[in-house]
Amino acid sequence: MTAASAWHSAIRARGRGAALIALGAALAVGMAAGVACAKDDQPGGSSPGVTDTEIVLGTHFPLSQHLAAAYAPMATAGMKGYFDYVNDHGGVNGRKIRLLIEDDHYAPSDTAEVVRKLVEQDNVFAVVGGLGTATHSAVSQFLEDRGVPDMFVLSGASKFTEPVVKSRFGGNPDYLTEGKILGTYIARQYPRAKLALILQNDDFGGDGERGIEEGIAGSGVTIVVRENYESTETDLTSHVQRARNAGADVVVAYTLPPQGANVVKVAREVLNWDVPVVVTGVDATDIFVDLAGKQNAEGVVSVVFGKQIYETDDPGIAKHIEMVKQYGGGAPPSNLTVTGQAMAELMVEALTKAGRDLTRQSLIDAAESISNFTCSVCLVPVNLSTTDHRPFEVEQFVRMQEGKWTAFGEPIGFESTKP
Amino acid sequence: MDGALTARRVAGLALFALVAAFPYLYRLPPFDQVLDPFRTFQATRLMIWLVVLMGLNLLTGYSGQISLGHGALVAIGAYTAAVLMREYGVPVVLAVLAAGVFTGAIGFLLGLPALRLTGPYLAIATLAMMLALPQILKLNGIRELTGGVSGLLLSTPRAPGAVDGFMTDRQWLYYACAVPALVMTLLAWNVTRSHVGRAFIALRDAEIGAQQMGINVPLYKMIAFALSAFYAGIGGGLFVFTEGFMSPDTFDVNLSITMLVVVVLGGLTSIGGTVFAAFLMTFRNDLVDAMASLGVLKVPGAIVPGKEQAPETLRGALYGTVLILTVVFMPQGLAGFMRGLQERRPWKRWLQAARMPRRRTVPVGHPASPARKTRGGER
Amino acid sequence: MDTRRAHVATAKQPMGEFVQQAATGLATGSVYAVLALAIVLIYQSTKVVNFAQGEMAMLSTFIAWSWLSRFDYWPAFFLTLAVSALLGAALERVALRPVESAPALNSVIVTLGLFTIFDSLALWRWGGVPRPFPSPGVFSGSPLAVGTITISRLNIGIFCTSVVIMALLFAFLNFTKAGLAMRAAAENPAAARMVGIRVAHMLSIGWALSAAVGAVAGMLLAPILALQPSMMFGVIIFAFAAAVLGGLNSLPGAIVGGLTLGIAQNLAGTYVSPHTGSIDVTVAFLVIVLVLVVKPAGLLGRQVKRRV
Repeated sequence: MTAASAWHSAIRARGRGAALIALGAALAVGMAAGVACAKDDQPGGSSPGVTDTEIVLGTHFPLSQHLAAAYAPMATAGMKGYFDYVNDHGGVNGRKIRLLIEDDHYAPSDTAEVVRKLVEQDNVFAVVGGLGTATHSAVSQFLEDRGVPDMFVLSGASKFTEPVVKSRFGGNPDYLTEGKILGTYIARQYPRAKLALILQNDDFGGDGERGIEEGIAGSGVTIVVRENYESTETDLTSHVQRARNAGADVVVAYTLPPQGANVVKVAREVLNWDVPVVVTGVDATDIFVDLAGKQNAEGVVSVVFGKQIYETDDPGIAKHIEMVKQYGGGAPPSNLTVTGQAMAELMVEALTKAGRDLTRQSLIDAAESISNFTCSVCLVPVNLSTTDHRPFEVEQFVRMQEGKWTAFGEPIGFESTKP
Repeated sequence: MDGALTARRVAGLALFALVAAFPYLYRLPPFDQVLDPFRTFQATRLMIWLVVLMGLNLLTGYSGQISLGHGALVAIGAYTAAVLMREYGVPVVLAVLAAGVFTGAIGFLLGLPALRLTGPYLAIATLAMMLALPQILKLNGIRELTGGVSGLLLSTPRAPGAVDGFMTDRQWLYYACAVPALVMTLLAWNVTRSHVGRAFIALRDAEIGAQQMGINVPLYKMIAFALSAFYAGIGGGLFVFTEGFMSPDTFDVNLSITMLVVVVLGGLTSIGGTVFAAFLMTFRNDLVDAMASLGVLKVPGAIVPGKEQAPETLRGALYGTVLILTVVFMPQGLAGFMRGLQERRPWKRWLQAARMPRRRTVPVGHPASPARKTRGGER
Repeated sequence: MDTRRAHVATAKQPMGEFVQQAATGLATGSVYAVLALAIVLIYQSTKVVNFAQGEMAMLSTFIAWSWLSRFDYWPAFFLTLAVSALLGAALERVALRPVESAPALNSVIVTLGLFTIFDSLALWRWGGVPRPFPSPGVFSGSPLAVGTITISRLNIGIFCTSVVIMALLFAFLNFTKAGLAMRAAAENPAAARMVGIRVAHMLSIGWALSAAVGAVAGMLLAPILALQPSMMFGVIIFAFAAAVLGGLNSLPGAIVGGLTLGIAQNLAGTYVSPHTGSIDVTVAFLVIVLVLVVKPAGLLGRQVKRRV
């Protein structure tokens, strides 16, 4: 039967038959093409995104349509600004860094899409500083499967760095480690304290809770009440009241700055309660003080890994402010941009150490070899190894004094990379 | 149905062939410039959205029940399928079907309180459901099952060994979603043309009148909810199968609202409209980005004085404006617009007018002049 | 190092705790009530559920904030009310009038669109970083202690303001010619037109009033919620739940609904949450479902009979 007569038969046949033949033909053509070149869909080689002159990096960040878009300057000004600065000063081993920032609106299904686009259409060499626990969870497996280096994830979830995945590194301190550090401090400072935990009802609060439990293990400190609140709650009066009624004499808050400030404000102003308050490093910002009021915030303790933006005497911060003014695209310098630059400095350090012969493997090896590296806006050193993918495991304690977070005492940490 | 080779039919067949062979097209010369495996991923997403939005259209378009909580039903379907596959090793097809049935049952139950609700009340209730679901999923009692805040991680979906060599995982996933999408679309097509569909429409247009005509309003309302929930469940199951990850935040209120919006934009009460809606849903970010790149987002900066943030933050405003403009000027959605074009065939009239000699037309205001648009008076 | 002991509350007995939590619930509920008033007002005067209510209030508050740098509190306050009313009327004319006679779904979509627009505009203009907002002098100061219960002055202030607004609106809608005309225009536009009521005018006034009430709500709540574009996200659904609970066509219902919901949430938080985790939104959802199943008109609402 010739093609022509088959075609004529199709025309005369019932419509349904014609459809079937068309379908069959299409599939046959398609599969033939598929068989003919059935190989990996993966983009080529071990160094996509690397040319003689350029390194292409990607990240996913909320830039719009969500309240988390407040974090955008971390990437647009902090990371990208620093990369642009480095490019203007010779680049890395003769190559310039191009950072593609994709907007995921803090929605996991959008993250899944834009990261696939970055990997498959834009052929990025690596992903750096992907923001958000829920959002990054949607893509961490994909990046791992494709062997794309997932550098310095901006999420406090410990699950990204434990168990260690070769191609993935944590970014900011995870809340589990931070909780351990805070717990250790509390056990030292308030040996028989009754603890009230005020926790956000998600990974953030949950990891912090576990960390604190580990930190106080074996000491005389007990947890008398755990108050969970939903991230959209802004008035925590009832939670603080219950904490007080339970007889707590130290309050630990794993909250975002507005809620943290609310806790302190309610305790001091509404309940006349002078309880010592210890907060997560997420709250160690000027927003916290602004919202709580200088007087109410006095004496609150926290931990940080980076410098505060108002420490303009510090050369690293002074330089950072200049960098943001020049390369930040109009965003104001803030603790957000500081964190962004910290991540970018880590990335540049790893790229530099990987040398001119840049492959995904050499990048990962280089990152793992980072040792005792203190970035220009950091307070503590970074150590990484084949078994330790957490850059910041040591943190500096700060106390709110006269409206400023002031460092005190020795850094406490659980550095897992032995020198 | 005769075998006449109308232009329409040929186009239809070509379209069908295109859809059927899509995952392979990127290897062929004319297409390899514009297509790549990423597009296959997007096409797979489109198929899933088609199923989900078809359910929403059946509920809101045909039956006139406003639901801002469709996302919650999709999430329930996704979790059901995920738990079945992960904890009990149920094969995908069964898990997805079970998810559909389970979610359908929940939808049926939801129809109960909905029986007494009219528009705004239903909207509020479904919105509350949508907002409460993430919290419910994190409750202590259920947390072990749903993975709480961290969500559930499934193994990466892989094509069965039998197709190795001529079908990649991603191509397989496309067909795994396209076939159900086709089946469910045909199902919806049949339902809307059956007496059930007519009952739905009666429900929407004049509930009290429908009752007078002997239609069992409560029953059909609950069927509408159950059917749309069934679609949501299947869609959710397919989603979690292809994504491999599900968390309480994945289907949030924004997504629920966006789903309703695209269904309206695509065209309610229309299967074709749902196809448009699926396209809008899949490419909504690309569309907004495209509009943004036209420099539209820079305009407000010129008008409003003072320091402002990056233009990207205005994407939401662009989105909302387009939404309002469409609802005001094209309430029948894209499908309605296309239908209108087809019926009136303005191009034919323009051709005719161009060919004819100019004639004295009836002056405006004359009683015999074409009817002026009257504003809808009665509500 | 601080080792000041915490002042353990004397309310350690169960009854005392219950009363304190109920009182705090009233405080929380007053927040919902004041927003719910605006929602009910718009529904009564236009039969539209305004999903953008919270965002409108937020935007008004930002406008107030930008004037606070130049004016004192009260001048800025009233200026904001005036501007908000104008914006509300303009909004009605531009966005809602075209879909007035369309099915309810269309106005739902329009208000959702407005929601997105306002949220985005606020984020673009002022950024996402939360900032403090002052409370009016009369409501600041140390909290009031009544027996063993403490309540902040601001919460009492919010409650009193809600009641005053509610009374004024109630009087307006039920005892003045203009108010009755507005209600007539909403319930039966055709008949209203026949009696000479300018329906379009009434709708604009309804939106203007509601925007003003929303502005008051925003300015009173900002000290508690911290001024940011997302400020209303956490409370708006509870405001809707409160409105439904009290009855979408009852202004006093908005207040009753708000307070009831606040107490219910707080008590649930005290006695149930320790076992289950956070359940505030779940409670709101259950309340809505319960009301709609048992008495759809709400606690104080009137059952509306639909005539064929």
